Amino acid sequence: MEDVIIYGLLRGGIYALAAFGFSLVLGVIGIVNFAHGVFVVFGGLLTHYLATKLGLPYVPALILAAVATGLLAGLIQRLFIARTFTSEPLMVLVQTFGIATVVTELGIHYWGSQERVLRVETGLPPGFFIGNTFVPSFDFVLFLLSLISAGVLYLLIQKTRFGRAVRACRDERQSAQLNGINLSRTFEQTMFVSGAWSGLAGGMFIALSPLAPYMDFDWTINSFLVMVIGGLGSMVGVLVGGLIFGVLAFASSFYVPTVAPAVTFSILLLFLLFRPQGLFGSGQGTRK
Amino acid sequence: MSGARIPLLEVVHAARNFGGVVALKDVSFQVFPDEVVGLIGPNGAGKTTLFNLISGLLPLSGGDIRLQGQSLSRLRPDQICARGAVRTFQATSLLGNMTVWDNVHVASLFRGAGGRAGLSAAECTTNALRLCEIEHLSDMAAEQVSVGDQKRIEIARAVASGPRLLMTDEILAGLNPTDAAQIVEILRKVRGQGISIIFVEHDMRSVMSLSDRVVVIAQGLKIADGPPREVARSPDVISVYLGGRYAQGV
Amino acid sequence: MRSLFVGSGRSGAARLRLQFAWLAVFALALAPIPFLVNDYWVRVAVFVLINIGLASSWNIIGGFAGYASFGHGVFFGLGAFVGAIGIVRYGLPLLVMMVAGGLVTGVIALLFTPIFKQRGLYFALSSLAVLLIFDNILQRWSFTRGLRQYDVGWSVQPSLSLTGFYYTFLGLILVLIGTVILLAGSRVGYALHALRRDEVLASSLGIRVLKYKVIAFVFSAAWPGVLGAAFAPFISFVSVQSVLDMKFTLNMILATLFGGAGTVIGPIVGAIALSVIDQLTWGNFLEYHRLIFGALIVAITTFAPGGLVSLFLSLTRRAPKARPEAAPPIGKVKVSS
Repeated sequence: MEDVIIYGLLRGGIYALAAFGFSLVLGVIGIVNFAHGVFVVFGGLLTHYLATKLGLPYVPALILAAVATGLLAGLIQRLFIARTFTSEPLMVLVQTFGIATVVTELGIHYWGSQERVLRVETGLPPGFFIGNTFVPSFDFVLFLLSLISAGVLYLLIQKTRFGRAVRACRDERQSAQLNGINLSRTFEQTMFVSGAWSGLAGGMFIALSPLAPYMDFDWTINSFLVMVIGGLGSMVGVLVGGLIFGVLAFASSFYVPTVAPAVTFSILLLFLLFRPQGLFGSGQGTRK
Repeated sequence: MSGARIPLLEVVHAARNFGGVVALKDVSFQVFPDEVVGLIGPNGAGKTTLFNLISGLLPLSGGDIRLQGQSLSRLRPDQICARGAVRTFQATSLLGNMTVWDNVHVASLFRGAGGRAGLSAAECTTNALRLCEIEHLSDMAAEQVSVGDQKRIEIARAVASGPRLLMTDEILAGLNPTDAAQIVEILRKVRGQGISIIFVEHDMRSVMSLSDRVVVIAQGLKIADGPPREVARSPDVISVYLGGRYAQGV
Repeated sequence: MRSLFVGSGRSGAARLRLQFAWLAVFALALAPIPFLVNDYWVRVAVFVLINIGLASSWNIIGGFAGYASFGHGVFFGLGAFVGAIGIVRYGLPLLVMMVAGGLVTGVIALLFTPIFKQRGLYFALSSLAVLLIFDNILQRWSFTRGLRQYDVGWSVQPSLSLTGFYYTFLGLILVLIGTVILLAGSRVGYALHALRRDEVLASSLGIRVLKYKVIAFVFSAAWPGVLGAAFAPFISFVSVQSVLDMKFTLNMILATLFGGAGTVIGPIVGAIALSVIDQLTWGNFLEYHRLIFGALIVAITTFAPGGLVSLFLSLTRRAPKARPEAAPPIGKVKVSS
């Protein structure tokens, strides 16, 4: 039992990283990105590719893949989403679904549909014990890394000019425009950040568990669930939500593997019905 | 003057605050049948908040609002519309890809108690369009119509809802003086049908010309309530608009 | 240019007559098909009819009301199970089961109306959750698993010939479209149109928004239930895999959006167009099937978000000259606190 909690928490940071991007896009731009999970998977598979086929060390591969994923996301925003968003915002839901399908199918064609996992050699000691549970060093390092990345994102949003624009769009869209903030540029930058942090999450995840192109939808749902648990508009909430979700996901795949997806969805439904603003949310949970 | 008449609308110590901001402190006033009340005040004074409270888009934090004696405080907007309190909206809110006729017809189909009995929805729509002199635009798409005519559609739509009380929210915004004067005349015709009007405006001339009474709201409180001429000369009102120095000279 | 909504209020009766006339033409065009083509194509035609029906139903909640139900296939699947259980376990006739299918799904839709407290994504995912919950229940509950203890589905004897099924479905679809035409032009249609655009505004016009969302949802759920019940003997094996496949939901959404959401003819055109593309890619580009589908969605949503219908309209109508005193863009109602 205790080991389930610990392993769940270790992965929770990664889930949170993926969810930040999703929550940011929903809060700032106001769209549902069904292609979100694709960024996670893309980042992970690209990291794997860079590390195995091109022989890059893990950390540079990770960062490079994250940046590439961010660029992909920004490009998608500029070429596709921006256009549809101005005329029929409700259609963006479907459009991103289509984009997810296309990118996934292309991924399957070029990379094959099998799962991949990355074995990373580190010079670290194998691990240490917390109580009766053995914690692999690598997992722990990734956990720290995910917390650090979350911190970097937090600083980005609180301290930079980009962050100010993001907060303005999220909290008061109409006056943001009046205050001279370039909406389309801010949206592209937001998507870039979302893609980059999701790609990072994917690159970290693939060093722990397998990833395959068809898993993108699961990641979109996971991110949404984390956001629902933690609350829209609160980074701390998403972080906590990610940790909680990590434990829940690990626990359900451990104890009730056959119905794990149903458990996920039932939790989702319960939250949506009874606490849509999440644990820490700012009350705007049911905006269209 | 008030007294023997029964008020149509009573706003009783209405208050609204949220998240630490006090939008409305304590406002009370009445609107009687067959009267036009102008509601004025500086920006941010709470006029639109008051509007949203009456029409049910926001909940009261304190006090009560009654229409013909019945409290509106926990009713949904559609229920309030059904009781006869109908409003227009500040941003143009027409259904763009529908015809002018259909835009008004939606209101007719769901009209409330105040409309004339025995009319079909289609007749109601036609009457409203005629009152606002836009029947000839019936088949045009609403989004292709000029600004002035869009305001008329708004009024027609509100009239088609069968109001006892019509509330307009800065309906003259963005109009040149000629168009504005025409809208004021339309509202006069509406009033002539026995519908009371709460008229929120910045354009002083229109307010003075149309209103039987003027209520002034500033910083969440009512600071004047009386016939237009009186209110215009009131030192409190002048100081709110022009600053304290000017008031002393009156 | 967006398609113009014209309700049945003004020149109402004339417009309805025109729409029903087109429906009659549609019926006449499709009636002789079993005599003109071989069995393979008749089967394809049945699937096209079912897709038209499902898309038209989804259009009521997804297109007219603007609530994208991502789990809507659950009603089709439930209808199929109702049909299968009724026919196999209780020996009831198909006609009765079709009605039962519609009733069961209608009631279930009614029970799930709390999910309407949310909008957009939240609603979409809630509806998906509903689908998965039923997916699990149907798989585990012994009453629905099959006739015998270790069954994983229901074998349903086809009670009609292929031609019989074709005309059954054709009849169902014609009635379905007829009810959609009536609904779209009625008070309900106006209400849905208004609330899709802006629920706050609709409410202020006297429209009880929740009531009409429920009406739309129940209507859009009942018809797939009816179609599902008829589908049971047609497909002859009903299991969670065969009738609760995500592809039914995806097809109905896609067909509606591709053709044009919020119009009567959109889902019909979309379903037919997609079936044509499906047949072509299946035969010639099997590997790229899903890729092409995805690319189509992206193309339509990016370049013609109103669907084929709006594309057609913008090509055939001259764009109106912008008037100099034209109004500022029409926007949503902003409620300031």
